Amino acid sequence: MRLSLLLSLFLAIPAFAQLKWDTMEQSLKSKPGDREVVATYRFTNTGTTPITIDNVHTSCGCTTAALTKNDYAPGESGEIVARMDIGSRTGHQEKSILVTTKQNPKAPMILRLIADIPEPLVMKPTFVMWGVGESPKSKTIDIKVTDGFPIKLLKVDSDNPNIKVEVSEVHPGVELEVHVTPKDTSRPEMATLLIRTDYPSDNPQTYYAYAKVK
Amino acid sequence: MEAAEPPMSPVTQSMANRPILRIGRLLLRLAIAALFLFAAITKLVDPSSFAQQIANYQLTPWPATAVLSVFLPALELCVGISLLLGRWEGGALVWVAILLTIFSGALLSAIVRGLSIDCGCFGRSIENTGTLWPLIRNLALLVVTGFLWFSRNKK
Amino acid sequence: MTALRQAGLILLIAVGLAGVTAAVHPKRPPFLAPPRDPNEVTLAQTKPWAGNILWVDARSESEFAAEHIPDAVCLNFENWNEQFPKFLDRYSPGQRVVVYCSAISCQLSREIAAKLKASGVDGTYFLEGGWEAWKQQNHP
Repeated sequence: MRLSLLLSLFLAIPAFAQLKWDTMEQSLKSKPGDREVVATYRFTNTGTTPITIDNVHTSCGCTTAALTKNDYAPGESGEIVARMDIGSRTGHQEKSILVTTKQNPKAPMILRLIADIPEPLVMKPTFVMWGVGESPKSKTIDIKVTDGFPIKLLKVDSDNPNIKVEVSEVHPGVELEVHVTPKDTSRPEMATLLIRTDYPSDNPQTYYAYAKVK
Repeated sequence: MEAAEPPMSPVTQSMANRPILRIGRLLLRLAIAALFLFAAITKLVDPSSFAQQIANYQLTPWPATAVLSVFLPALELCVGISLLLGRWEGGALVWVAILLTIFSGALLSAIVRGLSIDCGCFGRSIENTGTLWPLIRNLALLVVTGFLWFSRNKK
Repeated sequence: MTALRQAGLILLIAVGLAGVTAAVHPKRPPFLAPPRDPNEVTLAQTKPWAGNILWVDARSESEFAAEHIPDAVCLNFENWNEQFPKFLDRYSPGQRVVVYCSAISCQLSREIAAKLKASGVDGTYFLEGGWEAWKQQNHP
């Protein structure tokens, strides 16, 4: 008799984990040009009492989580749609979404969004600078496509005729050396260098580097 | 004259005549052994990173954290082996209960203190373990431990 | 043997095992002081840099607009392409760039500092404790 009491206690413990999630963690990969990463988390109220989700809080201002409604009857399903703004983030990103219910405010559930934001190309450095009066010697920005990326570097232009660019192709389309030369350094100047690519084909991305005399 | 045997607990008594319960008990014991062995080995592989995880709970000063990062997995390993072999089971179960209580306390404290939720900062270890599920799991394990304790063979 | 005695023996073996691990494990933690990211600085460490320091606020523009370290420039992942040229307006090589975000647990400052470093800005650091730490010291 005592045995069955112990066993029933053991089985009763998960009782307050009423919302059953299809999955609480999602891993996604984005494409260059994507502005956000979207993940949908489906859940079902597997308990015998209604559940009210009263707070969905994300770990980052860059991530929003939306619910269509807050109350779920027993057996009812719903979903939380999480959107992470990519911005200029690259590489491995992990964001969390905290879900609290009115019935169990001290027991929040944590959803995880793992995103891999590939960096199609790497620029080193992304800017070059001269002091006013400094000798206007050419400085180099090295641009290299990340291995395995089907992206081609097409053209590099300066938006300021007072700062010129000359491109030498280390490996055409894949690795370029951009030699930046100011006409003179007698006054402050500023140029944005536009690096045009062909990828992705439906929305070819342009990348930016900067040159300044100050 | 025969030596008097220690009296069996009611749990052990009810198991004595039902082999299925003895098998169930064995499986529970091995399951907890496997859990502790797995936990120990994953931590022993990289104590430095486990130390960082302990530090994220902000409960202990650094030197204690560093000591715990090697001592806890070592203890888990010994407990796991003991339960696996079925030797010194009583002693192992004492440590299981203590460890589960300590871990649950730490998890509860992390939940109660509130996770720092601003500008992309959840503290990596809490992101990785998730605070609620391990807490539920630990409480369930404590109950199983109690069951194993009361039904053990006292040698 | 009682359970308590067994527990004691298990403890002894565990202590021995822990000792061996602490002595020889290639990935043992440092025991005296926690490992520090060389790019993390405390507020105290930034004092000698006064006059040659550029503060970078990694928080959102609205948080920045509400309050920020005087003369800080806002630079975050959401608006990097618009804000980076403004950062370059303020930056001169040789300056110490210190990135901060809201509080001690915040990772944004570390990430923005890393991106600045990868962009070619030498001497980038991030502030331990973030805005909260600065506020505590400067507006108690």
